Amino acid sequence: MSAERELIIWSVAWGDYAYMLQALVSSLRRTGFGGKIVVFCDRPIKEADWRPIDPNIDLDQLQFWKFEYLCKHMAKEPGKNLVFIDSDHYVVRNVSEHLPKLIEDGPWHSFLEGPINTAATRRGDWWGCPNAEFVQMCRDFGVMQKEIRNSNGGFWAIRSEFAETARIVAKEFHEFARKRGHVFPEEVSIAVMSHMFSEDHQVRFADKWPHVWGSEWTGTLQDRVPDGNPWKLVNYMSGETSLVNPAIVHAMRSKSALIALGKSIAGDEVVMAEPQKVNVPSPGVQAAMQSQKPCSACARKRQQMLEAQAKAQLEAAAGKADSSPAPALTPDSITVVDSSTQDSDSAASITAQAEQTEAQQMASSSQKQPSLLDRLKGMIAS
Amino acid sequence: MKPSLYIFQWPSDLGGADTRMRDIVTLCAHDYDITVVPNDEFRLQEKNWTDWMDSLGVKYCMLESLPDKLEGFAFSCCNFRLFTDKERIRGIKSRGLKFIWANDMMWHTEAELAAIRQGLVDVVLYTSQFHADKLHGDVVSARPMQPMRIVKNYIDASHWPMVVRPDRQPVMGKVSRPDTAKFSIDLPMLWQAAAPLWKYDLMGWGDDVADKFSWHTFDSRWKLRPPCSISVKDWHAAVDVFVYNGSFSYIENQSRAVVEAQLSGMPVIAPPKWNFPNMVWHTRTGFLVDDLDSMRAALDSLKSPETRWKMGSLARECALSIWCDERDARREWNSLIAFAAEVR
Repeated sequence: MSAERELIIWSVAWGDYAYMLQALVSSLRRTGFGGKIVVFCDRPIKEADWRPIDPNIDLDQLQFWKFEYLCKHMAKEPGKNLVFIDSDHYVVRNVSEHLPKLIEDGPWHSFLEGPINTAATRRGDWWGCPNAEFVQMCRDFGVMQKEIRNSNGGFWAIRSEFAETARIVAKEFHEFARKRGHVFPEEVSIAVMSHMFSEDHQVRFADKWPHVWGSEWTGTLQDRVPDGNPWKLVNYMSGETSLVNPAIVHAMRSKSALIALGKSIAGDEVVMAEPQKVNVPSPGVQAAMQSQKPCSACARKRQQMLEAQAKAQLEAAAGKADSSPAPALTPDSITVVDSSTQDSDSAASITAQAEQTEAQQMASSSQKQPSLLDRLKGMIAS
Repeated sequence: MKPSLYIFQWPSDLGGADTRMRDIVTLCAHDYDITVVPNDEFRLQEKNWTDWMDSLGVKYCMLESLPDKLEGFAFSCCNFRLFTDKERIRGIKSRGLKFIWANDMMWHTEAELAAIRQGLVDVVLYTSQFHADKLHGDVVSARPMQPMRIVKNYIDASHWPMVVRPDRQPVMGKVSRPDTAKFSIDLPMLWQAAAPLWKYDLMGWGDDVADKFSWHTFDSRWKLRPPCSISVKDWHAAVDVFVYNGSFSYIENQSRAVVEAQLSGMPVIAPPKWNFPNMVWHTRTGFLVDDLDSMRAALDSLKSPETRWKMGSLARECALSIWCDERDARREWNSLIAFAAEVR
């Protein structure tokens, strides 16, 4: 119980995700979690410390708002360990014992799922970034661990004193990747931090915690609420399968069932007022969020990523336009910059310019200042 | 009569630019009539430094005290206030001095590039081809015909004697100016992960740096020293292996602290990038590591005092021959000045 007192589970949701959050909170309580649960939501949530959505936090497209909520609202909570859980999770067994252990080995935790750079890796990219390029990006950013794995942004834990650092590092990596032509959602930064802020990052390997957390992304539990029975987990990067029965299920393909469950829990007791107006990023994203199609979370993130990618390219194009005239930018003209080509071009340009400079220097060498130069030549000769 | 060299910078024992300037003054005092011009008048009251300059026959004064017309050369290394306080750069040029500018960092400032664009810098100086490759593109963009030279760093070996270290629980460390960018954000986790049984000694632990790492609980293995809390020589004696772990936030040009550590007989662990491959002979004078496993292996082999002594001794020999050749350095500087004299 004392460990429970030191941690706070928290989440943020709006729209239909609010019903999923209700289902999550109720599952936590039903399985025996007695600690504090803080939720930021556009409608009240039972059995949790409910707070309204902060209208001053931009619900940015790539979900970095999680870090804004963390720093603005959660970092000063009396709890030491803050566990963020996305609303599309469901808990089937008591988690009170497990959660404090996640954060014993450093200030930050997310589960590291599939290998990106080992012989077992089968998938060639993560968020559209080829594995080799991603690994190099991590190295250049400062990740020193040999085996690099992907992670899931839906579940992470942090010591409250680390909140501001996490926010800064997450954004720094995002910016670092953006400059290399990759616009990633927040979970990529989350993965990077789980490597960098671990004395032993293997502690965070998801396959070492099959009893605690698992991400069901292939539809094994399609449209069903997890019920505590084992299910087949497919590793996202390696494709390896295993039978798991984690206490916390990231039920990504069970959204309709979770929404229905959440609505039934909310019942008549909850005053279902008009949802609070939320600053949603764009009509396209809004549509994706409200979609009942399977994998709406992925669709939403993909949409957000594409929008941000296009925005970054437009910004880059606008930046170039400052120095040289550019053709009118149409959607068809937006292409991913081939960084290798760009590098070799700029290298060639620098070489040419350097040669030009050298020629100029040689030419200028013929201009004489005899008195001083003669003295210097004399010094060199001596 | 010696040519006049005006150095717009003040020396100190902390940071690559100031220690470089100190060593250049020592190197060139014999060949040039040197005047040191600080940014701030209070510097002229720093008796340890004015005594040192007096001993070398070097003069010192404020810019305003210089005659309106001068013949000779101006030099400055990383004193960016010359550009932000525009009267300084104008004061150099209006007096007729040829200005040699060394930006030892790996980035430019807007004001610096603006001055280059206006032709106020006669010669841009780099310390290595790597350095020039990184910076000269922007310089050429600002001023296509900008004259440039490469003169490698010179380090006065007389400041850095070989240290005989006792057999003890090994200590890895780093000394730096108190710049947050110099300490990678994962440093405490990384070092503890790489060598949990070692001790760790960091000098340069200013308030900002401490604040950056306020999330970490530093246990008894750590010694966190404020900048200049002891002399670097004494710090060398307290540390067995110098570790430089880089990150995206700071690209190192040429760490003088690394060379100074090598001169004291310390093996160095550094990343296999930037200019480090020119400074660390992998497996002979230290290790170039780019992942945690190789860092662990390097530190494991350096647990042995004999290995540290052997590598450290060779590190000193190499550093002496590469960075501390006074005759070669004087020739390079005289050649640079001759080059500057010819620049129009």
